[in-house]
Amino acid sequence: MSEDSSISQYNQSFIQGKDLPIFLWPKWLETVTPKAELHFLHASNDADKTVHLPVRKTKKYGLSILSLPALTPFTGLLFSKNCLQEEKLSLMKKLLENIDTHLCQLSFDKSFDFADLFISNDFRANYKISYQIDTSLSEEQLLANLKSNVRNRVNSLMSNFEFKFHDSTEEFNHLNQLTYKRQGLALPYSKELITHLHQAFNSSSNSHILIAKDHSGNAHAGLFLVNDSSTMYCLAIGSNPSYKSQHAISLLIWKAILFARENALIFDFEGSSIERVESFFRSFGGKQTRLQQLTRVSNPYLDFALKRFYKIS
Amino acid sequence: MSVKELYNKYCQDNTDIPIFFQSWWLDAVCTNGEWTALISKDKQGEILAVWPLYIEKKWGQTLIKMPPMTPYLGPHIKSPDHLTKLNSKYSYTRKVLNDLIEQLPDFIYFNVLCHPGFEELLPLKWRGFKQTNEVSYMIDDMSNLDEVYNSFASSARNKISKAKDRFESEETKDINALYQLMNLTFEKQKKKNPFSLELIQRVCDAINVNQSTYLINQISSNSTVVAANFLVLDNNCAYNLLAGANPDYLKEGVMSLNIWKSIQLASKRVTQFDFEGGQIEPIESFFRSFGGRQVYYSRFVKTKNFLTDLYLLLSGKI
Repeated sequence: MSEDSSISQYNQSFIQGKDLPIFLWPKWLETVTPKAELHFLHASNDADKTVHLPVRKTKKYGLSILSLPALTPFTGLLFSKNCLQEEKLSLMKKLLENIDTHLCQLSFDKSFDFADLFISNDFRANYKISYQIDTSLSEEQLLANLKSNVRNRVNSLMSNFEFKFHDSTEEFNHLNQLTYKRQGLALPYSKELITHLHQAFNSSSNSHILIAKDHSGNAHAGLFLVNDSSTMYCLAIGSNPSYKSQHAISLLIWKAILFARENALIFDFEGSSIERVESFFRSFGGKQTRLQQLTRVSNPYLDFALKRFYKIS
Repeated sequence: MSVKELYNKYCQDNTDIPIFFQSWWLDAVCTNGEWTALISKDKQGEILAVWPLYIEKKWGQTLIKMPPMTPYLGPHIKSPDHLTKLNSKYSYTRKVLNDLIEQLPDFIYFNVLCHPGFEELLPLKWRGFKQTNEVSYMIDDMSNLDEVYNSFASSARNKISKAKDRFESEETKDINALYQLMNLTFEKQKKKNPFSLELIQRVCDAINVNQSTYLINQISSNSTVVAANFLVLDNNCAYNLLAGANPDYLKEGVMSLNIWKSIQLASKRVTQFDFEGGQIEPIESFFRSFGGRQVYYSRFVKTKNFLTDLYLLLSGKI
């Protein structure tokens, strides 16, 4: 059997174990994906072992597309308990047979073990780069690992700001929109999405809005952070371009790294491939990590057009 | 010193360099074009990195490609052991790589596979090179062959167990049977063998002259060779470079037996075994069954313009 399954089936097999990333939690998936677009690729065997893969299924210009939901850097596989490696392999082969869209583009984190199967099924694989900070180090070591210009800012400018967690997303959303506006880009997710996520995850302390204000109460920069039991992800950044020269964003990230450290969480920048942004993230001394991005387009001419005109990887 | 002399010096000083980077290897395989090397030096003239390139000319234009029988090339950057901070290491590597990229000759087509140790992807991506991952499988430690064997999937162990009593295995230096079996394998796939017998002989001769090692293990039935593997070895690793089998014997586990015998043979000289590839579905399943670790390495492709892209699309090359 190999078919799409529903959220209820996914919920049944979902166990909120400590190792599962937040991006696989049913509540996350339901918040970031419109109900009609949330799909679970699914395969099972005769021994009732199953695998689920949550994805977003959409149609655009007549093309069927499987992709990641908004603000979701990677997806993952949910196998039944006690599934042996050979069973996992055979389930994955069945699941892959079920992917028949014009375009499928998904990313998986470093624990993903089946990229080779995707590649041998005509998927193209490439890497997305991020940086992670190992917060098991002491604060002094973390400080020493910063690039000197960031360290100098941390040493000299912290007292210029107040850093506070906020229940409301209003100020952050404004800063976030300013950031995109300054770059002449449209916000890549709906204006309300961060608000919805924060409402869904703030009470369980899995979502945080951290804002830096000067002593006159002007908001300079903000971060939207989410965490599961192992990692804190920096999912969105906002800053007011008028105050850019005061470097609040560097100090805010430093604060967030310390916050992750207090909670024994790895800090993940959820990186950017944009040269300037990547260089900024790198200056915090993190280790480079890679997400596997897997893409398949149903025919070479469509692939050519999508690569050329939509810049797909 | 000439570029190639500098390059040779770097290869001598850096023992982790794969065999495919050695200038004698490149001399042997670059028969339809020429090879050159880009070199990055510091202010004192110390070589920090090299990048060997195989260049073919077509219609007066430059194509940078992989030479035949060569699975990996790409930039090789000396490890910055003097730097302790990660950020400094990344900055150093990036600076050296940027220096190499700036030296690339003008080309209309670039398609290069980088060795798995090359991890600095972004500078090339930022300059318009499309990166994709290729996969191979690697056994990291062959020092305990019982452990290696026990890590095989049960399907592979069963095939070996059945085949080992029916077939003989032997080491040889003769490439003729291997070549005939490669032809049979490609014929079955309705493809032409991309390597000539002369090329393989040329590589073997170069290996012998340069005190390197190649191994051929072949499996026979009643004195008829039915499967053969060709491995080349450097200081660290055995690369499973070529293989062929009589299709009539495939179901009898001769390929599995040959891989196991090749591993046994290679383990006397090196600790690692690289299966070399696994992009195609049946080969991926076959290699995976030997318990190796998945190893991803990067292919970088860049074309000069839309017309080159279109030509490649219409000629079925992408």
